[in-house]
Amino acid sequence: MNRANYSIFKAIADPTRREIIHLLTTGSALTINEITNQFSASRQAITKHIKLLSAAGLIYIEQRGRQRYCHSDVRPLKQVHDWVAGYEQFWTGKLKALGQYLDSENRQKS
Amino acid sequence: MKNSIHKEQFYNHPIEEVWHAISDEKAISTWFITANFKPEVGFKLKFTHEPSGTVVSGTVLEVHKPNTLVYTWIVNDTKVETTVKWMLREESGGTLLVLEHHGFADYKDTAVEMFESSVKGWEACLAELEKHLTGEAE
Repeated sequence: MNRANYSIFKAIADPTRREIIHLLTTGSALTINEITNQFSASRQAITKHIKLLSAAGLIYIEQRGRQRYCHSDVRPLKQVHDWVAGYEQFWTGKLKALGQYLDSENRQKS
Repeated sequence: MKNSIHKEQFYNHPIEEVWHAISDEKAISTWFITANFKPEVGFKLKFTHEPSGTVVSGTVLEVHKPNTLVYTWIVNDTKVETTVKWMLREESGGTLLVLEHHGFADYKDTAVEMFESSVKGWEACLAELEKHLTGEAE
């Protein structure tokens, strides 16, 4: 339940950012200009999205000569899976603890 | 891919006792998590998990004693709002508790749709991810 786990949720909560990942995952690596050309948003807005995606680890940037190419990396999406798995375990444990609590309360009364 | 958690648990205790356990500040602090809590709609709750220093904040959304308790659940300053729903039903010999924790359901179009989208390319990428996850699970 640490903070890093949530940057991924934030990153993929936005439709433009998802389209960017989609674009990079289905095709080849692209420069920011090439990405911007595919959207109606400004270069500045796209750059911001790319920064956020990069912070979440969903995109990495490769310097090729004078150009910077964006690649996608879907491995961090595993965290979405882990979020569910983590809470599954958390709640299973807590519901068991509730049972023990109720049983001990009962014992005290009788 | 799931976006929420659903748990059911039967307790051989009367519904009032189970309700008390999930809605009383002192009781919650005993078995669940150190709580600042009142079962009142609009109450700003605070749960502190002392070992890890994790603080959960939220707002009580629904209180229907002794059946339904709903509140939001935000971990630390993540701003990711999830919802925890407790439902109790009286059954012979005890109480059935149903717990639902909705993850990113609040983001209408989210990760989940993304995962489930059949857009070409994602499929291949998800197959990769799946392999990664199963490999990880073994």
